[in-house]
Amino acid sequence: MNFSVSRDNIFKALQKVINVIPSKSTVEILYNVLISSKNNTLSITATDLEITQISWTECTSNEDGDVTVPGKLLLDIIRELPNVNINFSSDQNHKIIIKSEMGEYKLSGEDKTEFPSIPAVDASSNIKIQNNVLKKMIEKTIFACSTDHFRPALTGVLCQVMDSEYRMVATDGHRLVKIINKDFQGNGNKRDLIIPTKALNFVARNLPENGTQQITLSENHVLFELPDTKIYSRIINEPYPDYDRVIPADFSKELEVDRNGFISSVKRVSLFSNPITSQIKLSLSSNNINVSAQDIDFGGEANENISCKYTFENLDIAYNANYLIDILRHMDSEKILLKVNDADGPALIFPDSDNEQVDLVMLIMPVRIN
Amino acid sequence: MTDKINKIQILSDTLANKIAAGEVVERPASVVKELVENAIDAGASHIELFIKNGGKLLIHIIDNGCGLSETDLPLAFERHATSKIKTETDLENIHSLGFRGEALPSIASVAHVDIKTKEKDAATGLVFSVIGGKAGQLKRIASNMGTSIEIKNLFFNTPARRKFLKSDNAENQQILIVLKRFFLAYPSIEFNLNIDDKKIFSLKPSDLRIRIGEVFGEEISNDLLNVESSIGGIKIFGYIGKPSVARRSRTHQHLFLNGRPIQDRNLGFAITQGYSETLEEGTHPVYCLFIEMDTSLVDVNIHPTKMFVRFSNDRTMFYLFLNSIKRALNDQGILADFSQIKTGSAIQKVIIDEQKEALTESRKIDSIKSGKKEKLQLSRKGQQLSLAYFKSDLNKLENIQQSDLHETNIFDGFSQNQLEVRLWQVHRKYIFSEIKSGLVVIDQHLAHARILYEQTLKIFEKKAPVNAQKLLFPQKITLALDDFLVFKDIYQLMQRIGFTINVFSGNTIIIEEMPSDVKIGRESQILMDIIDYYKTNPHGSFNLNEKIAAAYAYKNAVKSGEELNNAKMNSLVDQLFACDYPFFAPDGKPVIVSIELEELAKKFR
Repeated sequence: MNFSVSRDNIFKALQKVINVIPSKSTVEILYNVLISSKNNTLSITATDLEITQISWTECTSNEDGDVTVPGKLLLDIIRELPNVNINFSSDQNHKIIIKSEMGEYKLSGEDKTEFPSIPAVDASSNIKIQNNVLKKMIEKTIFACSTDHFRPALTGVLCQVMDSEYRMVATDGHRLVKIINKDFQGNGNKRDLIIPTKALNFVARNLPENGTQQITLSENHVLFELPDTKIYSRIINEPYPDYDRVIPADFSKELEVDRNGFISSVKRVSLFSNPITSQIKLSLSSNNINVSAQDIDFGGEANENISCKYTFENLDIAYNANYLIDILRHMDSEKILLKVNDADGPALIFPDSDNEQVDLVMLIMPVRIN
Repeated sequence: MTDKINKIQILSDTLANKIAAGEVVERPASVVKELVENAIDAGASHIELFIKNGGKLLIHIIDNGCGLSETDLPLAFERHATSKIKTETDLENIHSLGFRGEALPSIASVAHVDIKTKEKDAATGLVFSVIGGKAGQLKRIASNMGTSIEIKNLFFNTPARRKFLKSDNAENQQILIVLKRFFLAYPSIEFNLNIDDKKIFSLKPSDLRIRIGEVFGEEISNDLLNVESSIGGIKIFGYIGKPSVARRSRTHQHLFLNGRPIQDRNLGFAITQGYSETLEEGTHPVYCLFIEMDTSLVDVNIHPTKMFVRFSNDRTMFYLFLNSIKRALNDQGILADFSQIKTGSAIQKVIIDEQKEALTESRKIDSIKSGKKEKLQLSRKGQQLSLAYFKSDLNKLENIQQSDLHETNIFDGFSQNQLEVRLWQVHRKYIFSEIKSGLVVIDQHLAHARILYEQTLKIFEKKAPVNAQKLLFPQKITLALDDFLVFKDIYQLMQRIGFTINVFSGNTIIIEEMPSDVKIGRESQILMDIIDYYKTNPHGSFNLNEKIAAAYAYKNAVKSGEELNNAKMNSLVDQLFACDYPFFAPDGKPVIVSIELEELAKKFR
């Protein structure tokens, strides 16, 4: 294999996939990236067996071929080079020589056959979502996923392809986000699939602002085709809990409050909550929220009052402050609506202004008040 | 083959006793031991002893105990005749000193025995003699209440054994070793000892401290430290000598288990460890310690002399002893005292530094309500204690716990980098760090279990808030009937630590609320784990609260194999040191193990 490429091009392509390389793995080859040059196109592949990402850029191929190289090392070399032309060659023993006007670097690679193959994705069913909408939906859901692997389904985002709706749902059992894209054509591809958060993270990072990208769904994998890169992800094949059942339809109490003011208030007060439980209490009374926290271990105590729109009977309700802050931060309206029945049930949080294209609702479970 | 040679014969009782005597009656001292035990078991409050020619000629013991009845007296000399146990179950629950029913017949088979006895309500006393195992006539005689037993011409019919006896003086010393144990174990009993018509000891009933002085010598009695502690039904008490009175031999070391003298290398080692480097090399601490514990937790029937016992949880015992000794020495300021360290020394700098930082932290509250002040200190103490531990060594730890943190506030200006305690996780199982004297290894699972255990107990005592998180997806579980019954037993307590579980129908339950530190997805697992743990019940001495707390702690603790980042390790270690007993897991396993540099150096030899 022998090709020449500009430093900036290979650097950009490599940077796209580098985060897919696992930080710790028992499979040595996963620390490598697969470099292929064919028909004046250089493609770089990285995988952690769950997610595979390929990026490409133009090059001058002198001899087509493939080799795998330690990814982080390659990135470290290229990062420090100025934008010069780089010649990259490898022999039968996978000895790699990188030449530039600065000098020459020799390193050992490995055969392509050692590298995991790219998952086969059946191109028959695919859907299209506008980039800006998809990006927003990913950003607003992945924070609510569980990070513990005891219930694998919750470590991913449930994506529901319906006839005229595309939904994404995330929950960790204590809070839940449901976001619905109403401007959507399913084209008969009715399907529920759970996509790992890590993959969605990479997708969001590589999504351009405008345009529409194609998503291909196969039996066990999903493929995102993005500009100059493709992301393949395994689908989590686990039953997702029946989330609709736990979202109440009617509420007896409703609160409207300025989002930023509420966040700051909760953040300040939560500094005084018990660091293990992060419990804060909201005492709702006529057009007022009293936010309070107490840390018996440290002896800290705080409370603040913020005005709001609330005209129902008084109510005391407690939450884990981190969950509440997370949720409020991921809203983007000026004001939010909080709907609740009592101190034992879930609270639903909505943006105050309706978005015609997207419906967003977030749910938080309370903690027991001592 | 002639049938003469191979014929198996049942030994006569006398012969069998003679052989058994070899086990029980080794020398005069063992006779003394058996007879004094009998006297104590008989409830005597006054025991008189006369020894002649090292006990070879005469051992005469007079007690004021309950005496023997006419029917019991001849039986006492039958093999395995004992008044102390009747059934097999009694063996599990031995409260008397003797119990095997071997002593009297064994002694009687190798000596001339004359016994005079009178029960309290009997009109007359009885006299009975046995010579070389052959019983004589039972006669009536006027006598005082109690028993007087004379052992004469010990080993007269076993010349081999007699030959091996040492000089009178040596045998007397052995007798004294045996007797001193009784003197110490029963300070309330009056003992008078005469050897070759000379009064050696005349001990009036008194308390332990005075008795120790009488037995060990006056000079030691001023240097005794009181030891008292208990953990889950095990109680230890008694006195230890200051390091300054340590001896070159181990003769001043006495350990008693439920009144019975025992020897135990493990505990001996724990005590010596407790003194750590305060002992001069080659000296052994002086101690007289008593263990009181449920007899079912210990097997005393593993050796004929009853000197060795087996504890069902010897690790707990080890650490209980180690800690108690340390505490006793600390209380008296024997171990290097924090307050005695020169101001400005490294450790103090570190602590003050940490404290300043803690105060400037955002958590600092200007007006702390007085009731909470103590807690505030406690929690910061955790950090300081862990720091102190790693930066110095074990001995200073408890002193810091006792020193007032606020007094040290006046010191100023130290570099920040001393604060760092470097922790390494090894095999995702242990946390390693460096201390002055070597290496510390903390078991992450046990450490977290200890933290959760104490937190949970605090919740039970209403000293800490419950933290219960509602579940979005309640978990439905169908339990097996026996599990369901256990669940009903323990539900009340589980609710207090943050579980809300409702019975759905039959044996099916729904978990609706969990303590918020339980990981998502583990709801049903942890419930089953707690039920299983409760069922298997390894800790007889735990009460219900402790049992639930232990079950929850073990099952919710960080597992071996979980990766911990630095922040997590630090917080784990800090929380551990804020615990009341950071060195043990709830079931007594050690949480922290240290490897001395010396030990490492040895390996490289």
